[in-house]
Amino acid sequence: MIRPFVAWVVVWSAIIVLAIYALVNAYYLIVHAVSLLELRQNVQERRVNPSHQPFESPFLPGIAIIIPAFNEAQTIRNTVRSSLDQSYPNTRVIVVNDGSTDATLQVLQSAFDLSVVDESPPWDLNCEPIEGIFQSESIPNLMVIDKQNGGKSDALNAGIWLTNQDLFCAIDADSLIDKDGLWHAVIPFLNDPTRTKASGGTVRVANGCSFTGSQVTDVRVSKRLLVGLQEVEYLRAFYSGRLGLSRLGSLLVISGTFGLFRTDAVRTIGGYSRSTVTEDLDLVVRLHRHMLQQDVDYQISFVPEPVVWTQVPETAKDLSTQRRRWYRGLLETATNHRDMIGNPTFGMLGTVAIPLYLLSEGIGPLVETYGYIIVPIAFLLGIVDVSFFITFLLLIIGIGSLLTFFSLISEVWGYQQYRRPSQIGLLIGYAILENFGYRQWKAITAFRGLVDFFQDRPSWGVIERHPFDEEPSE
Amino acid sequence: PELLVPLLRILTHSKRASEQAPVAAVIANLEHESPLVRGAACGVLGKYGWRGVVRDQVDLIVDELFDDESAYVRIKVYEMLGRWGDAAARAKLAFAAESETNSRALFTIARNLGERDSQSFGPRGDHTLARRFSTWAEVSALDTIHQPLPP
Repeated sequence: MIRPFVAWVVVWSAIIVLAIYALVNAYYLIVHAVSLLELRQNVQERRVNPSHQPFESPFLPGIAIIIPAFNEAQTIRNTVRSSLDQSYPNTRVIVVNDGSTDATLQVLQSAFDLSVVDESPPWDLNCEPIEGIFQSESIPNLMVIDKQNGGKSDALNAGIWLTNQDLFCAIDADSLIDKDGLWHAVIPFLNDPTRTKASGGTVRVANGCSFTGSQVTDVRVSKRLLVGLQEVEYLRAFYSGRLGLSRLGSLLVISGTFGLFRTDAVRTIGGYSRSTVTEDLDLVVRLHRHMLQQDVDYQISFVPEPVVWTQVPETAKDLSTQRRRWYRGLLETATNHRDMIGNPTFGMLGTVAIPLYLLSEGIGPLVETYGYIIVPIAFLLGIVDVSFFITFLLLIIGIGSLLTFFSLISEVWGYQQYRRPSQIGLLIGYAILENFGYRQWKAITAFRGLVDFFQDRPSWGVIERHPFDEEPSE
Repeated sequence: PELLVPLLRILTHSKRASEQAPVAAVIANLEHESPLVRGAACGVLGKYGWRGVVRDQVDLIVDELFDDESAYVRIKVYEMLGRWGDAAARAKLAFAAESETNSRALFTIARNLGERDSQSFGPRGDHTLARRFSTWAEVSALDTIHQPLPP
């Protein structure tokens, strides 16, 4: 009696899972294929050198680099240095100390010769109360805002409201901007200054690399398994995912690690939201919403060049904290903007881009988790044939690896950051390995993020950082 | 505007033309329907304040420009007057400060008037605000750099 019912549930749920799986992978394949087209165009454009000296152009917009910092004493000095070491000429750096309880402010004071600005800010900064504002005596384009703790969004808003620059670049305090990073990211604004509202760039993993000063000098794949697996993920997410989505006009997220935005556009929509744990995703969705509702012709772009190097979590606990937060944030944003899902008022974005994004990133991991539960049951009941199961498993691994190889091709073809063939071999190894354990662990972590969402559990968590010039312990 | 704005911006950064160069078309653009064009025209005219004819013709419509609905245009007008820098232009800036409501535009006036004059303009009688702006005008991290992007 029970067995036929279970068999019925298993068969029908398997059909639904297969349908979702086919749809999601078709979506991924299209996005990845489009990204190769975009990359080809990008590589061709990079071969053309301008006849003028771009560094001396009077048409370059000013950029405020805003660095929100909460307990970042370990990394803040190098992050600020890398922001000051930009080849892009017109920058102002604003560090926002968000009520740190460690020595972040003291590190900044001793490293950059700060003096207090005697007057309160010239206008309201749309953030928690300001404790003090400092100007560097030795570096005129560096300023530090010291404010009461209000979270990352609140810290970013303080800088966005203070600056007078046309563009602002939001970066994480545990990241280093590549010295040419701003040049790459600003290109969409120079090509189309009226329409471009935001641009993102490729975030690369810094953990295995060597540094000189605040710049990456030797790019290497980490030999630590967990870090290496994330490197493969980052390559796939940026070189294939976001590049293709940008080409399709469907880019929904610009990484909080590095994003370049029109300051006035972000101020108009009220800045970063304080009520979500993935403020980066929420901001881009709200920009889309505002522009579409106001019938503004706009674009949100992505450049494939590596613009920033970031530290990724090195322990399973830290990684779990991060991924649960990402998943919970996705659900929060989907809930907050549920009226956009499938809504033709928002054009292609509402009817195609957002539903497919939610299906792949939101429902996909849950379906995968369900699969890990239902398949063993089906085995035990003898519903699934062994040869069918193995074929299906190989198909999943094959498609997953194929998508990753797309992004490895992009890296080798377009950027050659990893110069030794052994490094590419290591990445290929990680690309295969991630299908055995890591992928399943991520699916379960997403499920835990779902639980966090329903329990309304605060989930920023604390992730351990290392100074960039220090080798992490093995 | 798609053609006019880049053209005006190039003129802003081109080598200064001779005294005979016609500027009437640029001045006419101060009344263009697009705020992008109005702002870009101010950028060009900031460079030609040494010509009396330019100052005289702008004087005729400067009050209207102070009332422009776009804060971007008003900021560009204040930058233009600041670049001229003569006594009459500074007096106009001080006059504009009395009615300017946008903080960033007011700050532009303070920055262009400099410490001595911005202490005395007292926007709406608020000397505290004037002193604050005067202090911040010296903070280079708050500079506006080069050509602003169109709003």
